[in-house]
Amino acid sequence: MKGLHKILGTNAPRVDGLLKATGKATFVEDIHLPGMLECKLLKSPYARARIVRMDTTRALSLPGVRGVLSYRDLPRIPVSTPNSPHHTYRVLPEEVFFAGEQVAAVAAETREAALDALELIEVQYEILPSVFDPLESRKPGAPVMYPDLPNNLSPSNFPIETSRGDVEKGFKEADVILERRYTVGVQAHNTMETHGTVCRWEGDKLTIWTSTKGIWAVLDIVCTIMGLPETSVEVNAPYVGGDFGCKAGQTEAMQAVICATLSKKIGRPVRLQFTREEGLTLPYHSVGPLYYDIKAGLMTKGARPKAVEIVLHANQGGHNVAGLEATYVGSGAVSVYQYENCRFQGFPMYCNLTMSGSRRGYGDPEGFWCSEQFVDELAEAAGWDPVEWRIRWAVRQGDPTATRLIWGELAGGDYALLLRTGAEAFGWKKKWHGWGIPPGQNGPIKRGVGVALSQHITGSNSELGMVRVNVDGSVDVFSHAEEVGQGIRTAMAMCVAEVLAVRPEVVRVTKASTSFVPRGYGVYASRGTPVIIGAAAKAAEDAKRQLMERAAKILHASVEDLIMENGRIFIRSQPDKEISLKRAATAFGRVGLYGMGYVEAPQYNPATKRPLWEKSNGALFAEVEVDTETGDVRVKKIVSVADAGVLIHPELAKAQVNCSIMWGLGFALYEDAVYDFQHQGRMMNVQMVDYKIPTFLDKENFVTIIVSDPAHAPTYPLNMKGLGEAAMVPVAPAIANAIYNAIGVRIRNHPVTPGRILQALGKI
Amino acid sequence: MGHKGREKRDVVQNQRKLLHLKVNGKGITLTFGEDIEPWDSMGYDVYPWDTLAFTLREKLGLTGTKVACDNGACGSCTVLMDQRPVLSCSMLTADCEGKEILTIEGLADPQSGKLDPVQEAFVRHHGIQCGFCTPGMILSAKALLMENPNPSEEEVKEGLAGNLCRCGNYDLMIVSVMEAAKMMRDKAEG
Repeated sequence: MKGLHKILGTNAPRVDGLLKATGKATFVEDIHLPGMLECKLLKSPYARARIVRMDTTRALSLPGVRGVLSYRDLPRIPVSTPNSPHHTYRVLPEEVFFAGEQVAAVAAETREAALDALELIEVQYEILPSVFDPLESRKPGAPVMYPDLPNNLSPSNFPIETSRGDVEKGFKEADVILERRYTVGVQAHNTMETHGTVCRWEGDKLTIWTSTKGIWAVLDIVCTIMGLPETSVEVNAPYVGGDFGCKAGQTEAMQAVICATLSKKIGRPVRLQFTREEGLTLPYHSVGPLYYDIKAGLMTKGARPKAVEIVLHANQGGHNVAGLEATYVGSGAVSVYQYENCRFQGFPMYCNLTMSGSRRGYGDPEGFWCSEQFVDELAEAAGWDPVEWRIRWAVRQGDPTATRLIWGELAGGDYALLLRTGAEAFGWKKKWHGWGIPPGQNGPIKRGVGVALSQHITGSNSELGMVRVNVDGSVDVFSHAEEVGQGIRTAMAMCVAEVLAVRPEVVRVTKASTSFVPRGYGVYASRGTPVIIGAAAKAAEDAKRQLMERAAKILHASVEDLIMENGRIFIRSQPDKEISLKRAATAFGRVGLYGMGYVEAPQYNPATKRPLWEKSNGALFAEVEVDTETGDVRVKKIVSVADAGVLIHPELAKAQVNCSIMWGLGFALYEDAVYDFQHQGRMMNVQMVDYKIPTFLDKENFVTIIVSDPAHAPTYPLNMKGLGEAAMVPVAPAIANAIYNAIGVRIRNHPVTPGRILQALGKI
Repeated sequence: MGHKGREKRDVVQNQRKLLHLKVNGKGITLTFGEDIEPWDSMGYDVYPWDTLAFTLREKLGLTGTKVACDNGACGSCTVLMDQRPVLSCSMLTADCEGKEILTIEGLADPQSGKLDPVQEAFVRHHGIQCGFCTPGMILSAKALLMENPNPSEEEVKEGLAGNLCRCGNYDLMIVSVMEAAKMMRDKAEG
């Protein structure tokens, strides 16, 4: 849609704002069914063990306990998605692969009774050798996790290596060659609402309410494991209290199979809500711990990047959730700069830790933390200002870029513009005093500035949209569009309203239920806006076309002469000759009118036949103060520049970027899963008091600038694209670069804690 | 039920203790004890181990109060007790005798349904994302503004530092609270 937007670009109220501000919005845990039982899980204390014997009789005889489940009660079909190439986990396994993995479930009248019963389940384990480090896991003689994969290498349905050009030749031509190892820890999603599921049977029909961003993934997994037809299962997602990548279906389906099996057995509804500890240990984490070995060469003349080579060793966990982890970590570094030759090789290694998986930015925050620090090292070696080097050598529209390590062309975006805009707003020229010169010092407190770029996929897979113009002239959008906080339902209503030229208040986005919305994929890969909303917008365009055709017949005019506005259709030259949307919708009786739309990502360049990769691009500038006596870091200022296509809702878009800044700040400085590697590799910081996330007190002078231009998203409906994930990517490396600028020592181990800073300064 | 059941009922009648609370302006009487299991048809409303958050959510149906960390570390379960913010996940209902509790459901004007200025500001200025921390956040902000009607941004940050928002929407929450303060001051000045 071209031309003037009436609704897009305004800050309409959130459709869920009132409900959430009054406590009336329903989350899974708020669903209370008559006779509902509470479910609790028993977890393995061992990193890797086989269950030799499990006796549940004592637990079952405890008053209030109504049912107990172990691996013997469930089919031996793993939780897996179409992406899963190999052993995803079992709902209740006979052999566990990380400490904290679930082994049995109890349903009881109260949570207390269920918890008491867990202590009465007797389990005898045969402890097996375990390995926690991806480098160790690759060594010959390491404990083998799965007999069919003797090298512990976790397989993938996507590439885990790539090469372009001739890397050896590139290195020969380069004058400056650097080689570094970076390491990255683990960020847990730690959503405010933990994963929760309620199941109820009515005869042979199962209804599931679950906290998910992928109702269709949950449906598929539950149907596969339980051997049910799709028509016997309904999956509903009420409001979701935060997702950030961890609610893509696998964990929720595991909960659902447990609840549904217990519920069927007992004949009463069952609810399973994770504790905070379970929320921090059972669902997959970000990709890590990982080792990132990078080597690159520049020419002296122009600091032209000749070649880059990356070898990644990443923990995959005890199970393979999606098989995309190494792929995503590798894509970024080879995609953002104009390296003539590149090679990436990923080794996603099975280790006895919680799984690696998707977290806001899926692999890119991890990869860019390394690669964006490393390009600073290159720029320093070549004697270039890090902003200038990036402006000169960042990819441009049409340049080769990879998504999921599949090569295509950058569809839209302008890094030079983002960098110049950010540098101006940040005052880079004034603040940057050159390599090795901190811009300021006050006693032990040293100041530093840094910059980083970002890139992340936006849009994937296909979506079907469906709208109904109701008989009263209002509009229903049938969509799963899981509302995880991002505001997708608000933005979707606005886009449909824009196309049909009605007020957003008359548009309703239906609840997310597999029983009546078109099939689709979840709200991941920054696809919500371009693909899911895009499909709804195209469905609205289809409805509009039909309405116009009907109006043309009724008004005896041609469609080209008609205008649709404010719920009516009229002839351009005779505005008094009009009919209402209501009349057009009921022209064939009180049945309303349906529109359908379809979007597929990516689009292809018809000339080259290569994918046109739409990306969310960004640049970020950070200023820090480092206390060289305590190692404490304060992030004083951030300017985050994100590119967008057409902006739907500027305030909500800005909020996505602002929130990403807080996420990146936590990732940079505080957040890391701490494991008990000396014993069973148990994650130890499993409460909110121990696992530190940013608070109000971290919020300083953080500025978001969104550069909106339809040309930045050329291939999607309404020229829209996502920006909520990419904005997370550059935060941690920009902060790390600023810390280096302040203290003059490069810290290549993530996260940059006070301890690491004091160590780097030789003070401890 | 038979003879044994009658005997049990007599015991219940004799040992019955009552808790009196005021929740969102309404007086509420709850039975309290521990000698009968919670799932028994004669079970009590409150057991000694029940937290205030549990009673509000599971017994009184006030599910607006959210429990996130269940450990007193995140502020999601904040309610006002005698006009002071408390963490309902870390407070036993048994200790609430005679207390006046305000939850998110009771914050809007009960007669007109008009939103409290803090709620109104959070809605208008998009201080809400996933919404899970929102009830606790709004009540903490309410308590802050009752104590300090004219806070600086720094005071808002310090006052709300015990309330975590994993979405990270702190920026727009500060805007919302500052706007709410202004609305409340304007109203007070007539």
